[in-house]
Amino acid sequence: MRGRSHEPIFWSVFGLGGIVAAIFIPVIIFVTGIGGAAGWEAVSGALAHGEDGIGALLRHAPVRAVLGLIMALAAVHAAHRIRHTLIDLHVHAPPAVLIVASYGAAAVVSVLTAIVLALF
Amino acid sequence: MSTAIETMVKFEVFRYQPDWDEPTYQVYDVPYREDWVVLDALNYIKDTIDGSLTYRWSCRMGVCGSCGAMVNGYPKLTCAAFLSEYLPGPIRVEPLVNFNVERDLVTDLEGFMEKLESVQPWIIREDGATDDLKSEYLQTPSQHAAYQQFSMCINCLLCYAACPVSSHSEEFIGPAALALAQRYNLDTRDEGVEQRRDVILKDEGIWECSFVGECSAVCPKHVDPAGAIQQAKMTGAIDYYRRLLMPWTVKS
Ligand code: SF4
Ligand code: FES
Repeated sequence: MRGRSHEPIFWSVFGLGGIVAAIFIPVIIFVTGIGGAAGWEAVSGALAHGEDGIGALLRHAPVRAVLGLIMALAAVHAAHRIRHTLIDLHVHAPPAVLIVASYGAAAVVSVLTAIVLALF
Repeated sequence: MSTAIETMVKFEVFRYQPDWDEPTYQVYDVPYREDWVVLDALNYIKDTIDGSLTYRWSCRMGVCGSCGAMVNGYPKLTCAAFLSEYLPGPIRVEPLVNFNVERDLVTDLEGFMEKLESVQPWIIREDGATDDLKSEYLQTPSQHAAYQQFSMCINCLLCYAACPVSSHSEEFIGPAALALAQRYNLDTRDEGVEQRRDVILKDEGIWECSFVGECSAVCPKHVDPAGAIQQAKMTGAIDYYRRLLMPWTVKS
């Protein structure tokens, strides 16, 4: 590999997370936080077709899987951004420490999300 | 009787000579002219107040790329920074940051020159036919358009002064050189992608870039080095996974 960088691994997940976050998170926030709460017919109707709205939606395993994936990718995206911002701000920590701290935090967020989702 | 009172602008200019222990800021009062740029003021200082002030310039029209400096903390071509934008002053002029200073506003370009050379910013032909003057290498307008923007660089190095990565990594090849590497990699007449690959795909190549994008924001020629680096990252990532997952499909 002659001095080749392994950064592409982090960068590609970061890129994927960015796309996913940009496309899905606003929609999720809108559907779960704004549209439903504001009582928009189309949104609250769709949510309420089960017994209890969002809870009903989350009882579908594929929905939980997709939500978990979105959250995990967005967390890695944020971790990568924070790691590079810290380096740019001249935070003098060994690269390995920053890698473990940032992507580690993303892993913790992902696991917690998975646990919460599993409880439904 | 009316006396026209000249408006004066205060200049605080970074001064350093190799035999000094410490740099200092020297203050000069320069008459304000509507059509003057910071370079005119520096020339006025050198011609009428202090002949020892040292700085680089040549074309006065944003073409040669030699007059870059920090103007009130922002990387600028001094020949394109109108005094009117900085009224009432003071205007602080300093050498471009992220470079060593040789004297006053003159920075050491040696490191950049080495980086530039390392990406081989010239057309490479596998058959070595670069000096075969009889050959024609035709290109369609859209093939030309693919790299045209990246070829507008005047090596003014404002992008290096703006780059947070260049501020902490001396080895980082940096925006202008990486944009030029991409410029040749995208040129259909060029066959040097393989030869540039190892330099570009190191950490100190494209991967240290944290995509802050200030290089593109300060570039007076709209080169968009940040865009060039992102393009190169995409190809670099594909290359990485291909080597990892399908090593038999790559040469060497
Ligand atoms: S990319 Fe732009 S800012 Fe950087 S050296 Fe070239 S012209 Fe100057
Ligand atoms: S003097 Fe040539 S670019 Fe400013």
